[in-house]
Amino acid sequence: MAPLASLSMTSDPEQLARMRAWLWTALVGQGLALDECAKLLLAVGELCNNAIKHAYDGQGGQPIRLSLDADPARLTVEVEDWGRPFDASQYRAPDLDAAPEHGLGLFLVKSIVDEIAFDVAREAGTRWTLVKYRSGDSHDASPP
Amino acid sequence: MAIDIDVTAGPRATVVAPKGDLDMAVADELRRTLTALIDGKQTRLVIDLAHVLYIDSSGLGALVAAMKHARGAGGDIRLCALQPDVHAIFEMTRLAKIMDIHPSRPEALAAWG
Repeated sequence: MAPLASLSMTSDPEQLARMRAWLWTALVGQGLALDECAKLLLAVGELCNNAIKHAYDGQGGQPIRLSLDADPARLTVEVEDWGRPFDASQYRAPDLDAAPEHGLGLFLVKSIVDEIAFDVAREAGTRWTLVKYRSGDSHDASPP
Repeated sequence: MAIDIDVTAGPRATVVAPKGDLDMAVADELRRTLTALIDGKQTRLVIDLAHVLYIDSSGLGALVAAMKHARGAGGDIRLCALQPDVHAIFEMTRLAKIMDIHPSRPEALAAWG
């Protein structure tokens, strides 16, 4: 079944603003509270950042695809890249007391969404799936 | 990608007021601007975020780097006028406890006495 909305972008930081504009319009249209929209925008933005920085090693012009789906209980956003797959064994949670300059991206994603999953069992890259329950029903996201 | 950053030197501190989203596209430029100020002996910075509606981990990293650099040079940075959604990110990452945050520019400047 086709998603509610989808966006194809490239791994260029200048495209992140366009992504946010698309996602904001799509989320507000789903009746999500504005502060929840803002947080989900950040979570998706962080995954796009990681695709640019890590999956594609900063190389521009590479494909990133996003999709949004919704039902009465939840919103689901998928972020896909075709670069180097995410390696969970390399992930280290940041030491927040040390005010880290790097490594906050995935921490923010996990803090914001209710469910997070990733799929690297594919030809290339990673597909991230983020789930945000509609208000009144939230859980801590499970770690990658 | 360019970001609009107003810089105003004053007797107590230099005020830096970026306008727009502080994301990966502009974080390096922000970092360079703040580093240049601190290296130029402007080690007391007030960063006015009134016109910043979005910040990601790249933007946070630039501000944290500036804080550490300024403190290493005997100064500091103070943030002010954070929008609610931006403040929420500082709370989420505990940076609200580590960085000096004030409601307004005058209060941030006054904190230096």
